Amino acid sequence: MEIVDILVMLPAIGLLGSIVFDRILLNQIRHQIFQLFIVSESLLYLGISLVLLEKVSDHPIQISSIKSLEIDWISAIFLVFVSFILLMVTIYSCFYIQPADLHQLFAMISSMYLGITIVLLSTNLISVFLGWELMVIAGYLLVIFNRSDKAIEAGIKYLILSTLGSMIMLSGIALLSGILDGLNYAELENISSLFWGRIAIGLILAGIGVTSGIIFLNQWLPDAHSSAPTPVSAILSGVLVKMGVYLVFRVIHPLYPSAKMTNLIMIIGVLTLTEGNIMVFSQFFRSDMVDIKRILAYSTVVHLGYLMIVVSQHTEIAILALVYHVINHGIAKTTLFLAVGYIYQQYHTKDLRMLKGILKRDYPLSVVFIISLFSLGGFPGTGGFVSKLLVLIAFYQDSDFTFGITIMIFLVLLANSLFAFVGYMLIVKCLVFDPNTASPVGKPDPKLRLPLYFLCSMIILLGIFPKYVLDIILNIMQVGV
Amino acid sequence: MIWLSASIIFLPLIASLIALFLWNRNSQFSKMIILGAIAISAMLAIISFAMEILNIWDAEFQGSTIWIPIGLSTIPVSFLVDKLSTFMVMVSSGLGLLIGLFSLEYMEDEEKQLRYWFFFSLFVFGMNLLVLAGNFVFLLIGWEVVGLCSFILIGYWYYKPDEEGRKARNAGLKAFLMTQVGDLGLFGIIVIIYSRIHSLSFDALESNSFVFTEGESHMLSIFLLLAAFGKSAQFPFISWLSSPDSVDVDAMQGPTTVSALIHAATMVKAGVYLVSRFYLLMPHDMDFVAEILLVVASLTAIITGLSALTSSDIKRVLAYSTVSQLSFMFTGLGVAFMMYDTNQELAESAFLASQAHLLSHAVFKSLLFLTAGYLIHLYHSRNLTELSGTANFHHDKIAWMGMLFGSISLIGLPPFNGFFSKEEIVGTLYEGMQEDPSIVMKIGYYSSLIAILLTAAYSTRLIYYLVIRSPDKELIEIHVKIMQRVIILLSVITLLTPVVMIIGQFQTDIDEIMTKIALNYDVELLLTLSFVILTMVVTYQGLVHPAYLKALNENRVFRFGKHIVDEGFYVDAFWTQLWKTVIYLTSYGKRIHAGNINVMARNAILTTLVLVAIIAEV
Repeated sequence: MEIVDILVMLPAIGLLGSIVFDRILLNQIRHQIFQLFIVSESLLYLGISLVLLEKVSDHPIQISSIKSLEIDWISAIFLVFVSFILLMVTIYSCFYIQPADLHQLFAMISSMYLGITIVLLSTNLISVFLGWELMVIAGYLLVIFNRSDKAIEAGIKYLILSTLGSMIMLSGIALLSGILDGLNYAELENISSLFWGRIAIGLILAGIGVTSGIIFLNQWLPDAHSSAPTPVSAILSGVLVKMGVYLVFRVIHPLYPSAKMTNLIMIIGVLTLTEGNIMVFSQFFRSDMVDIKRILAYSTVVHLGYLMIVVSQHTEIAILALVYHVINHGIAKTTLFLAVGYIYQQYHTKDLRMLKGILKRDYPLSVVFIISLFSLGGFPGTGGFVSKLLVLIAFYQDSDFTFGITIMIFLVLLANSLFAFVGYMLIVKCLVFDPNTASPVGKPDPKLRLPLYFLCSMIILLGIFPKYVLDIILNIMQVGV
Repeated sequence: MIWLSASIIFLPLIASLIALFLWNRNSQFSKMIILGAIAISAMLAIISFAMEILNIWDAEFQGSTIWIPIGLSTIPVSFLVDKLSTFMVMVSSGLGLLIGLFSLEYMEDEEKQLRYWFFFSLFVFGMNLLVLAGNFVFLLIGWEVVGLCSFILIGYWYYKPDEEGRKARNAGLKAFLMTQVGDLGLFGIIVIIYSRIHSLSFDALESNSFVFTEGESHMLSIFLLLAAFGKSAQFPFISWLSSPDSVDVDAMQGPTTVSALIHAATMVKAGVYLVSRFYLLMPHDMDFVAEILLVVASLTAIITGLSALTSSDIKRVLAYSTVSQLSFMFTGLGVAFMMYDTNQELAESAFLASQAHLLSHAVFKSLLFLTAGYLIHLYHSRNLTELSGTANFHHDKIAWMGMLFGSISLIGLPPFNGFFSKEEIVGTLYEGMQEDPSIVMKIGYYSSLIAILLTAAYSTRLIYYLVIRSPDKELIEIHVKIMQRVIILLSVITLLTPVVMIIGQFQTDIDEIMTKIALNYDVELLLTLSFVILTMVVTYQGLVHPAYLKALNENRVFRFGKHIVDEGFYVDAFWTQLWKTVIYLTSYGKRIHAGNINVMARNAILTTLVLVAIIAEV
């Protein structure tokens, strides 16, 4: 058995283990053993991903038992990223979720990760679709994890839209299977010359777009993010939506490698991020509730827009920008969601108006908040700055539009980045600088802070020493491309 | 030599981090560490400036560790040590040291001093990084770091209850976000330059300054102006630095030491530095920049000069005056850009004049601010009438010296430093107008003249209120030795800078400058000087005999004009309205996401159809 096989089996083992622990072991120490089990499993997942990252720098690795799975440079990078987020979220969940619920939660997270692993490693449209469905359904179960009315409403919305998306995607795949003999990525070239082939591409793009939250297809996203329990929001925002971007990179570009497609996806990205920014901003002036998780969810939409802009370009700098932005956004957003979870346990509310000035006396947490929000806003010294710079350069440098349109879009991007920054500063002002009105109700486990500090220092390291991570990406990329 | 520039930059940063950890054990010691680091940094800065002007070293570029690898073209860590940068770093860390010493006593009674000292030191780091950066990314990093420190330090009193705290919070945020608008410009510059020449270092731009297409150089110009005007609070960004009395939400909400260092001496000069850097790198074909600089900056000088004339808050008068003096520097740079293609010698002297004004303004404005801070510290008021006579010679000699020296220098009377630099700027403007009698140059020249007269008027008003009127308050005896000494020191420096300016940076000897002033611009110079003195006299008379002002107030047109001036020409109202409009427009955004599942599904299907139609080219 090769090391890759273990990687695919790990989430399944996690799923089984969670069920077994839930049924069999009933004594006092079972919770601690279970915690140890899930943390070590996540660690193993991360470790194997790192080993694979080292290995694929020579050539793509085939998985012996399953023909349609293969790991190459881009999937290896994404694997390391998703497994890192998983580890952080797992450690956090151990102290956040009620012991009785932890098994269920981890079982669902494992199933989702099984889906994600399959999506990342697939070389075939059918297996991608299967992994995708597994991921989406597990996502539904995670969204309704709290079983509250709001969560169920959000879950239903998510389920309906995602199913719609999957169906659209499936019909696209079905069309392709009628045209072609096989559905391996390698066999899909030149399909764009056929009319029905292009229709299939459009359908697949729309299907992917639902999960990756492009404009008008992202309406499930804020509800789901804000109703799900905090660790789940972190995974949804940090990992799940990025899978859509990954598939655009992996599938759509090879299917239709033309300037027209690049420009279309870029425009979708610009529209998406403008929409996201407007929505972020309008949240602050709502009369019913200023839900901080909802604001963060819309901010995810904004960053998906940035990713869409660079994902279609396939130049060296664009790929670099894509990967680095995925990493930075994932880490910053995970930090924020986890920190909001901590606050939620303290104050039992997500309404920003009820949380005024609460970080005034909690210096470390306010620093965590400010740094991660600055990273999202692209402030120097944080990872977000480097990736924003790369995204803007990549867009401008290799844009296929005429100079005038490029400048117009560029100005829109700049204006949006300012707009987003204003939004983040409003959060900072509310939480840190406004006069304190609330008093804590609950007392969360102080160990919850550890992952926050760790992630926060990662943001700073990625911002001050970008060279190390970028070098790794560049090295592995030069082998792959 | 890389170590020299690196230690100038990073010592304050290291000190601030050490202070962060040591503060709870020994706060006095932490302050000493910070001040010591800034002192060493200032000393090294002076040494490197001296070495630079004596041509002891000529290696302009240093350091090339890779910071961001992007394929073949990388963004290195690099510092640039040349005359301009060492000069700027000398100003920033030297004044940082003096103002830091002043703060020892000024901030003594405050709570939460760690925040003050940490960000103070971080600010010096940011400013040093900004001016010593060897490429645009590091320039941007320093640029944003100083913006952040400015934000936190303006909002230093955010925790105070009620109105005071609210103003501090809003003022900090306003300054931060409005300068962020300008920062977009710097981002734009970076992206355009990188995409074209695949490098961001200054020397690469210098050797490739002709490769830009027409559209690109226009965009570069616009971005450059946006960045510089945003940071240096030129029109329409005036209101973050100084807003009308009725609004009172501006950078002056911070401690006065912060205003002196950040909002008078250093950070607001970053815009001037950026434009100067561009002048050194790609001075040709920048007519657009030149025209905008001449017109907008000189009009800004008039607007803010008028506003300073009516404000009743001592710090606000100084803030408005800062903006108008920055406008002078920009006007000088405008002449430099304008004349570069036709008369390089004149361009060179216009450039040097604006640098000289930068130095003299940094010195006399921090003197004025520190004296104002000293008075505010003693009498707990910022209102001119409440402070009246507090700097009277018979009342308080230290305050008298600071106020008088600073104001006279600001007016530009010999032999103070303001005289030399301002006269040089006006002189080059005059000469430029002789050579190129275009409408832009005329606007620049005449508005600058008006602005100089306005400067004389509001400074006289300041002198009248603080120095000439007899005091109605008892002198408060507080132990503020260091503050007094810093004021004395700065007053002496105000007198000495002309010498430094003449023999130092500009490598010309005293005779030459004197001859130039005496011969070349004699008519113009005497005219300006006599007008300045006339204005001072008129203002003084107007203040001494309020009946004149009352009579003027009867006039409806005058009242209307005064109202507009009081409101700062509605620049602040414009921004408030813009903010409200944005909120109003975004509130429509909620309708996109109404949460109705039928609408969602319909939208999804419609979007899919549109996407498929576009891709399939139906």
